[in-house]
Amino acid sequence: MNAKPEKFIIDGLRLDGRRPDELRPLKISAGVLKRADGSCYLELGANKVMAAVYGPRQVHPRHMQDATKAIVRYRYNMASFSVGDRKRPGPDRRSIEISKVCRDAFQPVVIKERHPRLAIDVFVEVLQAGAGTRTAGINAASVALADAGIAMKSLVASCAVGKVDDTLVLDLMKEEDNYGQADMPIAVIPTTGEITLLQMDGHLTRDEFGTGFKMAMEGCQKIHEAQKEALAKCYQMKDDGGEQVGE
Amino acid sequence: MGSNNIIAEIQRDHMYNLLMRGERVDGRAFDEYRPISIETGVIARAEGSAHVKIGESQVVVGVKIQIGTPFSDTPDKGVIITNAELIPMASPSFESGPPKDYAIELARLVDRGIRESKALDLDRLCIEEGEKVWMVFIDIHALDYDGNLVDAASLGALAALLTATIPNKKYEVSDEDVQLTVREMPIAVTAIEFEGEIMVDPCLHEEAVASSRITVISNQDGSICGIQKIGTDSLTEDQVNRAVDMAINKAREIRERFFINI
Amino acid sequence: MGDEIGSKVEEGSFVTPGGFIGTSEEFLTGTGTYEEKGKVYASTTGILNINTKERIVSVKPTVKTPPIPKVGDIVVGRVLDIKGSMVFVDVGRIKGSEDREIAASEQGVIHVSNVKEAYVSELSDEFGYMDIIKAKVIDAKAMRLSTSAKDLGVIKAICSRCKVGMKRKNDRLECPNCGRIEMRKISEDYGMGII
Repeated sequence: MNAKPEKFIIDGLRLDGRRPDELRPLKISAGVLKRADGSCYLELGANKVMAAVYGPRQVHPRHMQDATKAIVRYRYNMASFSVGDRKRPGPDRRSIEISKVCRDAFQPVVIKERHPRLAIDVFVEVLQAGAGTRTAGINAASVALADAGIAMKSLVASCAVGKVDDTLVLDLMKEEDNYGQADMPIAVIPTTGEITLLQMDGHLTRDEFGTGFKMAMEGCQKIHEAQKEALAKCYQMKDDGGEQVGE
Repeated sequence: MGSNNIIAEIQRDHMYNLLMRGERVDGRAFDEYRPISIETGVIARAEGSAHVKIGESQVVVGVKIQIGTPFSDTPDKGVIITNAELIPMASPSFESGPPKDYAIELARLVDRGIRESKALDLDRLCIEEGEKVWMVFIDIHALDYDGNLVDAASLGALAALLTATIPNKKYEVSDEDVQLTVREMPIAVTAIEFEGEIMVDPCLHEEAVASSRITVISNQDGSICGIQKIGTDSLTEDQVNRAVDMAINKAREIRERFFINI
Repeated sequence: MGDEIGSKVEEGSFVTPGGFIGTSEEFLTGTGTYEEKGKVYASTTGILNINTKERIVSVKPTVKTPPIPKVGDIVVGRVLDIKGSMVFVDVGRIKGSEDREIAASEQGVIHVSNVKEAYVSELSDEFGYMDIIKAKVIDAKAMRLSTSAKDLGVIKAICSRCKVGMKRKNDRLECPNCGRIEMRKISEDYGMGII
């Protein structure tokens, strides 16, 4: 573990050279897995996440079915090697909570009435964790759902805002996440501004909350643009006769 | 789940008809692998890592090296722990929850190759007898299952180990991190038996159709360090011998192509 | 927010779910779109199509969408039961989407009148339990199927006595195990392994 830095912001710039309202480098590729019905690989700063979607498909056991609409299931999982000290495989309380709030984040957008009795399964695997894995996972899952052709009212974009050295900062990196004063991840429907996930921990004044929220919203808009680009690029690649098979 | 079986059954007839003409589903020769790619150092938080693709099958293997206490019967030896997560992302037939028998078989097979070939010198992984040893965790994460995960996982484990460093600084053992010493390059080669023919590197359809397959893990000098017959059908001695010969040859090719200057 | 101002979408535009298309006064919603609070948006990823005559907007998907059986689709399935004048089929896959589970009920049914052109006296001479069949969808809602075309019918039959796959011998099937001969509505693709 790195020790707590003395200062998080020097001459207006953060430890990794970003301005307070700047996102980390973002890379999104859609349609990267064969077996899954939809997939997306995403890198955000040090995060590396893969999302896959299966379905709509049959629900087993049957008592979990909903006769009027599809159910959405979401599994967030961290690979054992994704963190500094090896994580024991399998779900823990943290990943179960994250799975739940992320599932809730997609409930308002997936048009579930189209597929009664079936399930739409979203799987997010964190291969390398670098602060903000849940938001990275949501952004990837959103593209994977679109890649699977699941009818949705919108993509969902997600991003966190936090506070270090009494300054609001967008998209926390590891040190800011570990030692910062506040962390507030949100997920939104970018076209309407509606909020589908909101969590916060730490300490923010009422004004900081308002300003920080707007910063996060703007971050989501930028991420939304990158999500659309990734889907467009995937389409263009298919149009050009498929991707290159590298070796 | 039933619909997967229907496709496998139809594929079986398809494969049979092709075989009568000496062909495989994707046009490969019987002793030909799909394209293999190995990328190392993909996970910065792991001490060693590799992303392996064989055809459309994809695995990520991460090696974590940490300090722990030795087993009481081997107080002067380091520890290897191999685990495989066949997560539901990788296939509609993989379920969430604790590892199923096939995941455990896969992990143990990869483990056997590393352990029995003596690729790692467990004596050198001892820091303080009876107290402190290096524990090498090999975690296999399957992302996309299009057949032959065993070979992909075993290549990934070897590539991750070959590029792993011992984190001396982090654990204050010494002030310099050193490369993990790997003394052998065990390579697993899996083949199926279908209507008497032996075919290497089965894709998903071939794996679903063949009721038996065999994995042979061999060393640089062509000796064998692990074998596993998987599946419900029996094999003849001749079939086993052909699979072993094919495996040793293929392992040599793969070793020369990917590991000689890693 | 961002999308509505400035970015005017037109025929042939690439859109993603949530992409603003126009108002419900301008357009009626076709496939791949939806309306909410007087506005029309895309619900799928693809290319926008505007039917100017009827003012209908739709999105032609550029991603693979969940396979939902339509009239005319060819499906493969397994015979689960034969009762009275009906054959009950567990529908597995739609031709063209073999890699993806169907996003609808898996229960299909063939009525005796849709088995073949000729008269059927005994359904058990046309299908057997656990056979794999290829059929055409004639009613997507109730999943009614037909096997009357030449390429449709049983593509893999299971011997009723020893439960192994049967080999075709002219217009009959023979069990390689026990030599039993059985009758089926055989598809011309029987045993070829193609859908």
